[in-house]
Amino acid sequence: MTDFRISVADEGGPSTLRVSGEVDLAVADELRQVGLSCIESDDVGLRVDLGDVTFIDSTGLGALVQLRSAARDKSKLLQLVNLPDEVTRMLQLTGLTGTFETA
Amino acid sequence: MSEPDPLQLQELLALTDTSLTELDVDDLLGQLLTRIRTIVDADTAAVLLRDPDSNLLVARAARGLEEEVREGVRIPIGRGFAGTIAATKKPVILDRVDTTTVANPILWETGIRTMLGVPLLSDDEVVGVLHVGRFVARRFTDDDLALMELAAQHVSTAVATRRLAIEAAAAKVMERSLQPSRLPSVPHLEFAARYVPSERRAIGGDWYDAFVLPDKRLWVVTGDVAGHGLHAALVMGRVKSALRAYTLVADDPARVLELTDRKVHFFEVGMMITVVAATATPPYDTFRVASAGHLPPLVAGAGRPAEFVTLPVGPPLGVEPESDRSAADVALPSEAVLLLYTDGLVERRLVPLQDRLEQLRRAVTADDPENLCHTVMHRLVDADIDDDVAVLAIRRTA
Repeated sequence: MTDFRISVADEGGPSTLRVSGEVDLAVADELRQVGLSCIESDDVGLRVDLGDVTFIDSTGLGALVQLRSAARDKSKLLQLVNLPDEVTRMLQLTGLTGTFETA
Repeated sequence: MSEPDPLQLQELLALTDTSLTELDVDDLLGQLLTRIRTIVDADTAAVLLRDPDSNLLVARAARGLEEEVREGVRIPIGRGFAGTIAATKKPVILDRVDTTTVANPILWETGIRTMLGVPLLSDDEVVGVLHVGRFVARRFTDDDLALMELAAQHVSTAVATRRLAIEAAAAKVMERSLQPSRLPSVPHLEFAARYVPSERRAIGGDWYDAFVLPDKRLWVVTGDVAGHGLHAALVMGRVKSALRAYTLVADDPARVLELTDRKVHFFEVGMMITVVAATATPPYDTFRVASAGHLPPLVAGAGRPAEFVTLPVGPPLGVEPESDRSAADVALPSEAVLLLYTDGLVERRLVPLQDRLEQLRRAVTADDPENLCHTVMHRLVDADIDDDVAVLAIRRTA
């Protein structure tokens, strides 16, 4: 079982989505849905904090890619922040480093 | 509401119980409609089933009203007589049939004057509509309604059961058609492969492919559609096929990936697919390789440690359709092997990917490809897999 938690905090736009635990098939849908509604409702966009993520697979990355597409379509921001080394490595190995705005 | 005639009911029940396993859906529906028409003294009877993809009611069987089926009648849910029954999940008795009460012109063109329709429900979901009509202006009664509602229950059950059986059979046929194709026979090259979908299914989103074009150009590919199960497998089938088509118009793997990427982006919306594609012409001593988000292949010369192919990695297909991609060349000396694989082979939750990749590298030697696949699977695969695995090994013998 994953210990994945999403919490939305509006700290003076953009909204921040804090993700922790394992981001995989069981969790990707929820991540996408919550992320999409954040992007929808926030004027600026969404920041995804991955600081406590322990594992992410292709379905998790796929959900992030979809959030990015949605943000792009609405000319809003999507930014990944606090990336752990493993996640940075995953992005490099899957050629996604240039795809996301990171901080 | 008065009780339906027990004899009539028995007749009805007898049909559905015994015929369930023998008839396919359309035959069963046809026979049922013939009986229903007699029991409620109607001139026409028809069944429309809901198509979940389009949310339309499609005429599937009819007696006395065969035009409905022949002419492919489709009614949007919410429109007209049948559409309203499906939308409200409530029966309707019509004592006038014209353009104001029904949407389907066939109904009044054939001279139907009164109608009775009931929804077909399965677990409270609408699966279709059952209706009867008369050419004379004699209204259907509450007794007729009671009989029709009972008939509807049996029709719904029969349809649901048969559908499941048909879908299961269709899935098996589809699975077989999506399984990996035979490895090519090429002078001075040996091939071996492994394909293990997750959850002990027959197919998944991973694939390998190896084929030779008429000009003797060889292509070897491994790919991974994010997700598992039948849906991922269906997407896999389309992407595998599209990629093959593009090898007929482009010789460079980077270009083939670019073309396939645009196809995926427009026609497989929301999907993400990693692919590595490599190509060579006789004597197959140099392979040109390109990767879309896919882990690098390994190459091992005779008696030498294996190395990961150094190549630029572009994003997976479906992410950035305007990407310019690039390829790299890798030499394949005589007796050397090239190994392509998907990330299910190495990715494990609690182990850093780097460690697993190193474990894989140490397992690869310039061996007979069958032995190599055996060694690699034996050392890397354990009970802890929840992803598809595909492995493809090529050795040059000349």
